[in-house]
Amino acid sequence: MNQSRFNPLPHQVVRASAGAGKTYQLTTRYLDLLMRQEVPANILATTFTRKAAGEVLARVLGRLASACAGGHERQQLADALRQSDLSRADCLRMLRSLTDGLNRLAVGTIDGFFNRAARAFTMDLGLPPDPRLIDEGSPLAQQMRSDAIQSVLGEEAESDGGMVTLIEMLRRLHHDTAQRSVTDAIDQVVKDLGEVYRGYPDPVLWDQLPDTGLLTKELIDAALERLDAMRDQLPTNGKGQVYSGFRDRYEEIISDARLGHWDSVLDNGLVVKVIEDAEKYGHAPISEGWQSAVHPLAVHARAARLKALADQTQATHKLLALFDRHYKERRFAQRVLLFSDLTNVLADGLPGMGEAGVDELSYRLDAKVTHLLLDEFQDTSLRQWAVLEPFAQQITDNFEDSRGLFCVGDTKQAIYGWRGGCAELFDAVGALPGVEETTLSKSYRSSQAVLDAVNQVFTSLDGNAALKDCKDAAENWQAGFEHHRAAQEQLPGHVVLQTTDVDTGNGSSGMIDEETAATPDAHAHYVAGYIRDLTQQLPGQTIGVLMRSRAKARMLMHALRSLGIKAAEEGGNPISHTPAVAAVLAAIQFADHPGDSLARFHVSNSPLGELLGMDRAADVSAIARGVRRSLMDRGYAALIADWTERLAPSCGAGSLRRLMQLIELAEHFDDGDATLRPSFFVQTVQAAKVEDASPALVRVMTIHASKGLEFDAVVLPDLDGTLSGQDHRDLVVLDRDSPIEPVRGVYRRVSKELAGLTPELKRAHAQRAYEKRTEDLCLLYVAMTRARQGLHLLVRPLRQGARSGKPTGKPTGTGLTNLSYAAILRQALREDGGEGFEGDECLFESGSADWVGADRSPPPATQILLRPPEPIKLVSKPGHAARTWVKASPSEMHNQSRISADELLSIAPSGGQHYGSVVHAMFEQVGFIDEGLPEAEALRAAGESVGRSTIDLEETARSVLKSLGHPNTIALLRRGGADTLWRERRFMARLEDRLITGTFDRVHLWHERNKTVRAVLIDYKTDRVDDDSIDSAVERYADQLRLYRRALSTLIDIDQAAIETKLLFIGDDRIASVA
Amino acid sequence: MASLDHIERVFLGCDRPALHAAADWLLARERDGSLDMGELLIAVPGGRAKRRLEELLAERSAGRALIPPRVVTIAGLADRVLPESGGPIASRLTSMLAWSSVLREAGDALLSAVVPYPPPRDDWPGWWTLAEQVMQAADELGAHQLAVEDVATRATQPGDHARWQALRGLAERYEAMLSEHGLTDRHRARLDGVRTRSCACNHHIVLLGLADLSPMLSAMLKCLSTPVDALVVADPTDADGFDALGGLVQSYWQHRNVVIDDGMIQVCDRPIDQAGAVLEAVRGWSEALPTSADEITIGLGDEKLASPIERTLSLAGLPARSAAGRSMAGARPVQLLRVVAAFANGMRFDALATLLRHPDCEAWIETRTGDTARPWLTLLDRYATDHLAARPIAGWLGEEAEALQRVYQAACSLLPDQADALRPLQQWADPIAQTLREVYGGQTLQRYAETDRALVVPLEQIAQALQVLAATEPFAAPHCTFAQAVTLVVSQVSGQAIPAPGGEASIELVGYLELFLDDAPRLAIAGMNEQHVPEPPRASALLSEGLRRSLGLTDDAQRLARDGYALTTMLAWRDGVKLVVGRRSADGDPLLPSRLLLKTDDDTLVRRISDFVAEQNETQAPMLLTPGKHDRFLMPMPVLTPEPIASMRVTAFRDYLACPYRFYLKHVLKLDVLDDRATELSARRFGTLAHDTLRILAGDDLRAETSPKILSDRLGSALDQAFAKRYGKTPPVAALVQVEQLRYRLQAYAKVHADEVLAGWRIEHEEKTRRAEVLVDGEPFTIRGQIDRIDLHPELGHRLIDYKTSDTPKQPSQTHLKTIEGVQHWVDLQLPLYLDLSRELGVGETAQLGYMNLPKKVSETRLAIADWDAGMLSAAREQRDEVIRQVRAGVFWPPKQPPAFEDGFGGLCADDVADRAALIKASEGGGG
Ligand code: SF4
Repeated sequence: MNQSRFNPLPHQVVRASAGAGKTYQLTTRYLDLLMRQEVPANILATTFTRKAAGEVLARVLGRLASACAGGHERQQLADALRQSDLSRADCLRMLRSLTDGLNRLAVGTIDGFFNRAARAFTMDLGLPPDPRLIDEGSPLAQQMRSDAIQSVLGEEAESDGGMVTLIEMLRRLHHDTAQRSVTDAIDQVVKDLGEVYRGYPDPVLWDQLPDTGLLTKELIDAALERLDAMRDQLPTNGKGQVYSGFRDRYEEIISDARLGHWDSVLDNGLVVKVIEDAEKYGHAPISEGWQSAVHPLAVHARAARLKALADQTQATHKLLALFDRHYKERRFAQRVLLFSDLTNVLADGLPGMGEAGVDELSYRLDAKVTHLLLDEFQDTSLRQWAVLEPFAQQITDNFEDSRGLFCVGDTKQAIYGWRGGCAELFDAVGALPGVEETTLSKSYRSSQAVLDAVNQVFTSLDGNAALKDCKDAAENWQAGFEHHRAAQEQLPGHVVLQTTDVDTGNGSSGMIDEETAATPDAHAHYVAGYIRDLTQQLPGQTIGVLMRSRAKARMLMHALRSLGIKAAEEGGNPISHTPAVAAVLAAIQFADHPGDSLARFHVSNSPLGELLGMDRAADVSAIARGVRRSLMDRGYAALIADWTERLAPSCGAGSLRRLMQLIELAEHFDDGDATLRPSFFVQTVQAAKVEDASPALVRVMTIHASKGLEFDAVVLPDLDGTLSGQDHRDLVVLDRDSPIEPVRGVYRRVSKELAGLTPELKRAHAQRAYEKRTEDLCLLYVAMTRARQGLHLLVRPLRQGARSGKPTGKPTGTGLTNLSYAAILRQALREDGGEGFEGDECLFESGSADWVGADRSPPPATQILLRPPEPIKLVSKPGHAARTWVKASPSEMHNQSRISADELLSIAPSGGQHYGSVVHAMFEQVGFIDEGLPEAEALRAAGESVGRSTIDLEETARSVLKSLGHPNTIALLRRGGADTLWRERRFMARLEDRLITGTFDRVHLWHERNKTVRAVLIDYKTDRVDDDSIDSAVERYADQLRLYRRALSTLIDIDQAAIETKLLFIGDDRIASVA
Repeated sequence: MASLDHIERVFLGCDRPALHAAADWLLARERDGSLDMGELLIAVPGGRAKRRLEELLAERSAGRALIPPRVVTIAGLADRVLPESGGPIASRLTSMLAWSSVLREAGDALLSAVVPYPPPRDDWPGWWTLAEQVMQAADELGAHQLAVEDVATRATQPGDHARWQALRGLAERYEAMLSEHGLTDRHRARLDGVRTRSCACNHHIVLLGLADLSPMLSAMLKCLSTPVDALVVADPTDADGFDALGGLVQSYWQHRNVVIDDGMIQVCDRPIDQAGAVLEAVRGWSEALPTSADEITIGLGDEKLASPIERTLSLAGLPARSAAGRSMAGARPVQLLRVVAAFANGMRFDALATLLRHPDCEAWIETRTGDTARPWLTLLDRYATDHLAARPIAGWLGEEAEALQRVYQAACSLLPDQADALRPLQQWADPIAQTLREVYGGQTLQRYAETDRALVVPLEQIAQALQVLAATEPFAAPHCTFAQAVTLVVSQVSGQAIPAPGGEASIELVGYLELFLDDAPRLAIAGMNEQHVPEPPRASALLSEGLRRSLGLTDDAQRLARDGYALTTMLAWRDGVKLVVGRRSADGDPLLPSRLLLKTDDDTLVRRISDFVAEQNETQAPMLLTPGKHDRFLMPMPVLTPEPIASMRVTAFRDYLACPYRFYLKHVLKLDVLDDRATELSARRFGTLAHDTLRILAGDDLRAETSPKILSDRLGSALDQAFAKRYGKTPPVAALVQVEQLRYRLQAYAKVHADEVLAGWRIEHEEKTRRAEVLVDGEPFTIRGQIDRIDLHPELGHRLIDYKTSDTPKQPSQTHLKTIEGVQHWVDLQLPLYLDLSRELGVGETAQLGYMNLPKKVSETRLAIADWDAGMLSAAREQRDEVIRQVRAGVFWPPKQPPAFEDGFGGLCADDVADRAALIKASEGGGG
C-alpha cells in the first residue's frame, strides 16, 4: 500500500437518514484519512455530544484493532475503504499512527474544540484566565443572571430619568402590561433572546420599522372635527335608514380616537375597510368623502401601533444590551464561562481575522486543520459555522494539498432550531466548490414496517389536507425525503395508529395548561394503561414514550406511577426524588437556614435526625452550625459519605444506591462550587438527573431529548394539539430570506393581524412560520424513526366531551384537517372511513403485534449486587506506622503541642519569638569565649540575617556582648579542654513513633582516641528568671532537654550520663543543670 | 566546556525501592560512624520523597540520632544554588508586585499589544493575576535558559512577535525597577551565574532520581566546583541512558517498550468504577498475603480520582489518606478571609448573610454580642423575606431592627477602620491578622488533634504569608484596599495543603509525579489515561503550543520517554501492581488509554485496544455498605393534637381539600419554608401591599369620592407610604419597579372604583379579621378570616369582595370549583364562607360574592361576581361541614395527589417518589 495509489478524497456532504449510520460514515472517512497517512493531529472531527465523540473514538480504534486481527473484519474495512485488500501491516501502521498521536487527537465535541481555540486566544479575546465552564441551566448561572438583572435595574434606576425609562421598558417588554414579577420576567426574556442579541447586537437592526406618519395633535383634532361633522352624512339604505353597524363603528372611531385608544381604532371594522380601500362596510357603501375623512385617523392609528411596536423592540434591545454587559462582567469576574461564550467570542473575533486567523489558530494550537469532519451538521448554528467556515473555506479553496471537508447529518432531523441549529447550512456547504453530495436512506435500525409508515407519511406531505396552509414548507420537506429501506429486511415490526378514550373532562384541546399539567386526564390514563399492556406484550424490550413538552412528560410520569409502572426520564430521574436523599438535602438546607421549620421537621423525623441528635431537641442552631463546620472542614462528599455509612441500616438497597450517587454528585460539587452556600448544593442536586443503577425499560422523554436514541418500541401519545404558529420562545422574529441570509431587521413578534402592518413584518413572520413548520415536520420524523420495531401512534378521538361533562353526539371534523400531528397522521395513514371519532378505535395497523416472538426471551435483568462482599482485612503491624510518621520538634513532644491562636497569629516583627531568634543567631557567633569575642558588627549582621524586624539590632548586640561579660556565662562558654564546638547544629531522630527534628544550640565535645568521652549540651534561653522562678522555668524545659540529651547520646555514641545538660538564662547570667 | 569532574553518577539499581537504596548509600558514606550528613544537600523530585527519605534515614540509622542532610525538592534546588555576585534576589512576591505595577503603568500602546483587554486601573487583583501569568511564562522560559528578550527575538508569528516585543520593553522596566532597589530577578541571576560561571554552593549536592533536570538547573550544577553525586534509579547496564547528571537520554529510551503484564491492566467506565477496581486490587493483595495498609500506595494519574477512591476505601472500612492533604483553599480561616473580603466590598446584605454563616464567625458573633439564644440566621432570613434585603445595607426596619443593627455592627468590627481606603499593601498585614485574632484569638489549639489541625495549619500559613506581606519592599507595594490585600493573601495560601498528620498505618493516595520514588510494595495506579499520564504541557495564554514548539519548550517525546522509563522502574521491583484505565471522566468526556500502555509490541497493542473499546455492560460500582431490612425514610405520620381542632381560617379549607396531609403540615404544625433568596415582592407580598393601600378607600373622606383623579392620587400616596413602611427608603430596584407596576394597576382601578361609587356602591366595612361560629354535629366550630371589603348598595344590597392581584384575572368559579368526571366539586370555600363570617353584620344569604381583579392587563380590571345559586351554596356548606368533621377527627392522612406547583413541601410529601403509593403504605406501618 503506498500513498500514490490513492485518488484524492473529494469534499463530501453526506445526508444520512435516521438509522443510516452517520457514525459509521464519519469513522470510515477518518480511517480513509489514516490510510492516506494523514496526521491525526490535523484531522479535526467534531460532534455535538460527549457521548457521540466517545463513540467515534471507540469505533475508529475498534475497527482498526479488529482489522489488525484479520479475517472478516479486515475485509470489511478494506471494502469500506474501497481497497481490494489491506494487509495486517497496513492496519497496524494505521493503528500506530493513531496511538502514537493519541495525545494530539482532535476528535471531540465542538465545544471542546472551541474551548481549546478560545483558550489559545485568552488574552486577545479578553477571556478570564483558567475559566470554569458552566451550563446556562446551572444554578450558578441562574444566580449570576439574577445578580446581573439586579445590576441592570440598579444602573438604570441611577441614571437620569432611568426609573421612568425602566418601567416603560418593562411594560413594553410585556405588551403594555403591569406584570408583577420583574426579575423572573426579565430572566425569561434574556434567556430566550440572549443568543439572538449576541448574533445581532447592532441596534440599527432593531430599529427598522418605518415611521408611517404620526399626525400632530392639531391634525388629529382637525381630522376628528371633520369626521364629527359628518354625522348627518351617514350612509342610508334604500329605505333611508342609516346603516346601524356603520354608525356604531363611526361613533366608536370618534370616541376611541378622542381617548387616544388607537389600538381600538385600528381594530375598528370600518377602519380596516378604509385601510383596505374597500368600497363597502357590510352593505353600506364607503363613499370617497367618507374614505378621505376616515383615512387620516386610520393612518395615524397604524403609525401609532407601529410606533408602539418599534418602542417595544428597541426597549427589548436596550434591555438585552444592558444585561449582556452586566452578565458578562459577572461571569468574567468570577472566572466562569458559559459554553456559548466560547462560540460567541470566537465568532466575534476569529472571522474578522480572515485566513490569517486560521493560520494564527493553527500556529497556536500547533496543529493545522487539513481535514474537517463534522457530525450532525444540521445542528450547527450560524455562530458555530462562523468559526468553522474559515477552516472549511481554506480547505475547499486549496486544491494542491490533500485537504478535505466532510459533513454528515440529516436536515430531516433538524430539531434544534431553537438552540440555533441551522440546517440550511447544509445546502450552503453543498454549494462550496468541489463538494460532492451523497444521500443514504437505508436504515440499520428500523424494521420495514416502521419505515413503510414513515415513507407513507413523508411522501404524501404535498397532498396532506392537514398541511394545506403551509404547502411551501410541506413540499420542500418532502422534496428532501428519499424512500427509506430497511437493512434488516426480515426484521418484524408493528405500527398502529389508534384513538384513546373519549375524554369527559374539560374538553381538552390538547393544549397544555401549565397549572393543571400535573393532574393526569383521561387521555394520560389511557396512555398509561396502554403502556402497561405493552410492557406485558413486549417483555424485556425498551419502550420510548416521546412527548412534546416536559410538562406533559411529567404528567404522564404521574399517571404511570399511579399504575405502578417503573419509568425513567431521559438521563435518569432526579435523585432528590428518593426519600433518603431528600432527607439529606433537608439537613443541608437546614444547616443553611436553621429557621426553615419545614426542613427542620423533615430531618428531625428521619433517621438522619437521630444521627444529628435533633430528636433530642438540642440547640438546633448549634447542630446547624456543626453541619456547616463539617462541610467546610471535610467537604460535602466526605460528610455525606459519613452520614450514608451510618444511615445504611435505615436504608433500603435502592435508597442506599441513590445516597451513593449523591456522594458522587457531592464530589463534583466539592471540585467546583463548594465555597458557596449550602443551599446552593441543594439546588444543584435538585437540578441534577442521575441514571438509576437498574434502568427502567420504559423511558419517558421529550422528542428533543430522544434525538440519537433508539427503542424497540416507540409510543407517541402527544400528537394532538395544534402546532402553533411560532415557538413560545419566539419573542422576536427576524426579517431574512432564509436562516443563512443576512438579517434586515429584528422585530418583536406580533399577532397575525398586526403582522400585516408592513411588508417587513409580514415577511419576517411568514419566514418564521415557514421555519417553524419545517421544524415541526422534522420533529415528527425524529419521533417516528426512533422505533426499531414497534411504533404506536395514539391520538385523541375526534368526539370530545363538552364542558358540561356530557359527550356531545356531534363530532368535530376539524381534528381531521387542523394543523396537528394527529391530523397529519390520520390523513396519511388512515384507511377510508377510519376517521376515529370514537375512542379506542384502530385507524391503521401494519405488521404483527407479537413481533417479539416466542423464541426471544427477555434478556436477563442487570444483576444488582445487594450485599457488599466480604470485608477486606488488612493486618496491622505492631508498633508504629511504617511511613508518614508524625513530625515534631522536641518542644512539641512533651505535651507542649498546645498552642494559642494569638501566638500563631502574632506577626509583629518585634514579637518574643523573633527576638529569641535574633539572640540565638548572635550567640551562634560566639566561639570558645576564652579565645575571643565576636565583633559587634558581626553580631548585628547575624541578627539581620534572621529577617526584617523592628528590633534594634545595635542595642541587642550590645546587650549580648554585655551578657558575654558575665562570670557564669564566661565560665560555661570557655573551652575548658574541649576539642570540638558545635553551634546551631540540627539533628533528627526517631523517638516514640515520631520523627523528631531539632537544633542543638551549643555542644562542647571532648574526644579521646577518636571516641567522644564527654559532652556539655547548652541551651540558650531568653526568659528572665530570678531565684523564685528559676526552678519552675527549668521544670518547664527539663523534658525537652532530656530529649536533646537522648538524641545527642545516640548521635555521638556516649552514655547519657556523660553529657552535662545546661540551661543558660542569658539575661540574668544564671545557669541550671538538668538532671 | 566546563569540567564535569565534580560530578559523579551512582546507579542504584532497580531491584528494590530507590529510596531504600539511596538511604543505604547515604548511611554507608558515613564510614566514620559519625552520622553527620550536615554538609549534604539532597535534591529529590517531590515533597513526599523528602519526607520518606528522612524517615528511612532515621529508621535505618539503628536507633541513633543523626545530623540530617538538607533535603530539598527539585523546585527548591535552584534557590539553594545561587550566583555569588549580583546582589540579593527579589522574592517571588516582590517580583510579582513589581511586574504588576510595571504592567499597570505600561501605557496603552505597549499594554494593548500584551493584553487588549487590561483590567481596570484600580483592580489590583486583576493586575496581580496578569503579573502571575507573565511570571509563570518567565519561570518556564527561565527553566530553559531563556529570557523574555530571547522570545522577542525568536517569535516570528505576527501576533507573538508584537506581544513579546512589548513584553521585552516591560521586562526591561521591571528589571530596572528591581535593580534600582538593589534587587535582581531570580531568572536573570541564574542566567548571569551560568554565563559567568559564578555559581557556587557550599554543600555537597546529591541528586536523587532526578531524571529530568531542566536545562537551567543542569547548567548551574555543571558550573559548580563542589561535588555533585547523581543517584540514578537504574541498573548500571543502562548507564548510556543517562547523562552526566543522571538526566534521561531521550534517544536511548524512546523506543523502549514498557513491559506490563496484561493482567495488571483493568479498563473501567466511570471514575467510581475505577475506585471499585482499586478496591478489588486491594482485596486481591490482602487475600494473597497478610498486607498492612502502609504497604499499599494508590497512584493518581488524575488527581480528581482522589476523592472517589478515598471515599470508596473508607466506606469499605479501610484507612486511607491523601498524601497531598486537603487543599488550604477550603480551610475555615481562609474561607473566613474570603467572606470578610466579600463583605468589605460594599457591605452587601448577601455578603453579610454568608459571613454570619461561617461557623467560626457565627460562634464569635454570639460571644461578641453576648447573645447566644438569638437565632441570628433566622432573623436575617426573616428580614430578607419580610423587608427585602437592601444591598448595600442602609438601616434596618421592623421589630428586630435594633438586634440586627447590633449584629451588623459586630460584623463591621471585623473590618479595620476605613477598609475602603487605599493603603500601602504591607500596612494591611496587621489589620488582616487582627481580623483573624478577633475571631480565633483566645483559643488554645492542639496541634495534633484532627479538628484543631484544620485551624492550626492554615493559621500558621496565613501568618507566614502575612509576615511576607508585612515585609513587602515599599517600592513594590501597591496602594490597595483591605479587601484587595485579603484577596492577595488568600491567593498566596490557597495553593498550599493541609497535610494529613500521619502516624497511623494507612493506604496513601499519591499524585502521579510523586510515585516514582514511592516504596510501598503494592501499587495501584488509577487514571492511566492519555492527557493525564504523561501529563501534557499546560497551555498558557502567553506561551501557545506553537510558540512552545518554536522555542523548543515542548518535548512530548521527552516526556513520553521519561514516563516510560519511570513506569518501567516502578514496576521492576514490585510484585503487586494494578493499572486502572477509565473510559469516561466525571464530566462524561471520553477518555483514551495512556500511551505508556501502548508502548508495546504489535500483538499486545491490538489486544489492548480491543479490550479498551470492547462493548461492556455498564460496570456496577461495588456495593460498599449493607442496606437495612426496611427503608426507614418514611413520611412522618400525623400526630393527633390533644385537643381537637376547633377553629380554621377560611383560606385553609382549600388546603385541606387539596391534601389533608399538607394541611396538617402547614396549618397544624405550622411548618414553613424560610430562606433569604427574595429579590423582589412575592405574589403574596405584592397582594398584601395592594391590600394595605386599598384600605384607604374605606376611609370616611374617600368613601363617596367619585373622581378617578383624586382616587388615583390618594391610592398612589398610600402605596408609597405602605411601601416605605415595610421596605424602607433604599429597597431593591426590582421592588421599586414592582411598586410602579402596582401603581399602574391602582390607577386603572381608580376609574373602576369611581364608576362603582357612581353606581351607588359604598364600602361598608374594610378588611378586619372576623370570626364566626358554626354548629356542626351540634358542636361549635370557629371560622376565621378577613373579608377584604363589604360593600353596600341601597337597592342591590351587600356584596363581599376579595381583591385579586395575580397577573391574570380570576373568576370565582374557576378557583372554587373543579369538574371531575362531569361532576362539579368544591375545591375552595373562601367566598362562600364569607357569608358565614359576615352574617352577624347583617349580610344576608343573597349577598353577591366576588373578586375584584387588578390584573397586569389593566383593561381587564373589573369585578368578577360568582354566579352561584342557593343550591350550590348549600353544597358548599355541606363541603364545609365535611371538612370540619374530618379536621376535628384528626383525619390528615393519607396524602392526596401532589399539587401542580412546587410549594416547598414536595420533598417531605414525597411528591415525586417513584413508588409514592407504596411509601404511603409503608409509612402507615412504620411511621410514628
Ligand atoms: S555555585 Fe552556581 S550552582 Fe552553586 S549555588 Fe551558586 S549559582 Fe547555584
